[in-house]
Amino acid sequence: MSLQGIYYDYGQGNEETLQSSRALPFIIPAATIDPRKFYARQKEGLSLEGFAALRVFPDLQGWPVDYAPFHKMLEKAASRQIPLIAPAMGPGKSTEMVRAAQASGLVVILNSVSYWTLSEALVLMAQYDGLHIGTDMLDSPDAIELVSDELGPERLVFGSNYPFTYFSGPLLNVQRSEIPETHKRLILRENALRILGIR
Amino acid sequence: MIIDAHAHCGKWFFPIFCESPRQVAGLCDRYEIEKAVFSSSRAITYDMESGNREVSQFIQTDSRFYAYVYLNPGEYDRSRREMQSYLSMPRFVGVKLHPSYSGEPANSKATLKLLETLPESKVVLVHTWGRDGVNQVCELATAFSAHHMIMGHMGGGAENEWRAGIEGALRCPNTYLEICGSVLHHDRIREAVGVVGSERIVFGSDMTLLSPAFALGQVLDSDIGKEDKRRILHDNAAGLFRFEG
Repeated sequence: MSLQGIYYDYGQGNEETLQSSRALPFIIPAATIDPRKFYARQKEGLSLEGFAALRVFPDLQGWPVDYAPFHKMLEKAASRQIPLIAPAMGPGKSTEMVRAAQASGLVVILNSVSYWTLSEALVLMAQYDGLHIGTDMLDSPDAIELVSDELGPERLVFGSNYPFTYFSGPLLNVQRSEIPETHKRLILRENALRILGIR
Repeated sequence: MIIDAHAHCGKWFFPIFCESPRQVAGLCDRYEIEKAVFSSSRAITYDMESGNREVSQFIQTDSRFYAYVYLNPGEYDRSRREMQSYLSMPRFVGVKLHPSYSGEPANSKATLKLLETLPESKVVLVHTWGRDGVNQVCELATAFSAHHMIMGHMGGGAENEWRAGIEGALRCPNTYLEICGSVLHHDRIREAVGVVGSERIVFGSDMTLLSPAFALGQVLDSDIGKEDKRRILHDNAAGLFRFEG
């Protein structure tokens, strides 16, 4: 997805993302919305048509999860039946995020889960089948094995956070984990295709 | 092969279960780590003496394992005893300071006094976080110009923090940047190599808190020469710790 959508204007950013995905078919487009500008009326002009997911950045944009415009956004995503991709942030924030998404019936990929927030994510995953976690910051040495064994490899989705951070770290972390090759394939490919509805 | 200048043994208050020497050895196998220098998580977070005793036993289990003795300069007499107990052992290659946990800045009077008797052959690894942390290590490095100091996490995870680390290393020629962390911004290694040179950057993983995958990935992905990568992953630490072979 477009960085312009995160930092400047989500409408223009989303259009840029769609254009890129038309030109380069390997790009799966995710929309973003900045709830500081979202007011759920006609002029706001949000369309999720053509997008495979909605990705949000409260960490970069500085808005709280318990925020009426965000809750309206979730309703809109739920009506389109696309998953929500959201960051874990600090302790307690994942609980707020997942409960808000769960209330709208949204499937969630919680990314940037680290050793610091893994405990919270594991409890939430046990409580909500629609929750998956991204591997971009799943950085403790046995986290891939732990989540895979406890909750199943189908609950993990590869993420890199590139170009903010390096690509190969998260990739090596999955490739060199001590889980079956079939499970690595789920994490690196199949789970994302299933969740994003791509055949 | 890789030399890891920043590793830990012991338990964590997070869902991490890679604790036994056998599990840690397996992690070293997985990431082709030839040698690793450990400090005790127990010593840093809870009890210095029992933690240092734990790491001294841990390194006996595998010929690849070396150690830092953890010191809390705020506990001067106790830290002096720890230095005397362990630094004569050949596989204790340095000391570890963690100002965030101990509350004792790397440039405090107590720290400077404590390190007065540290042999020049022993390396100082300091958890270095933020501009203030970098400035403290620079002051320490200036006061002990014959010693080698490693700035753990190369100054921190935020852009202004690791850039401060690079600037600090440029100011102090007896410092090294160590590269582990949770947030590893793209291009930070290339920038560090461009400013400081690859000769003063060392690989660290922060295992067993973190997987070595992330620190390794940033070196492999960096747009720097093969020779630079070899220095960072192995050669610089081999020279610094006087490892032979």
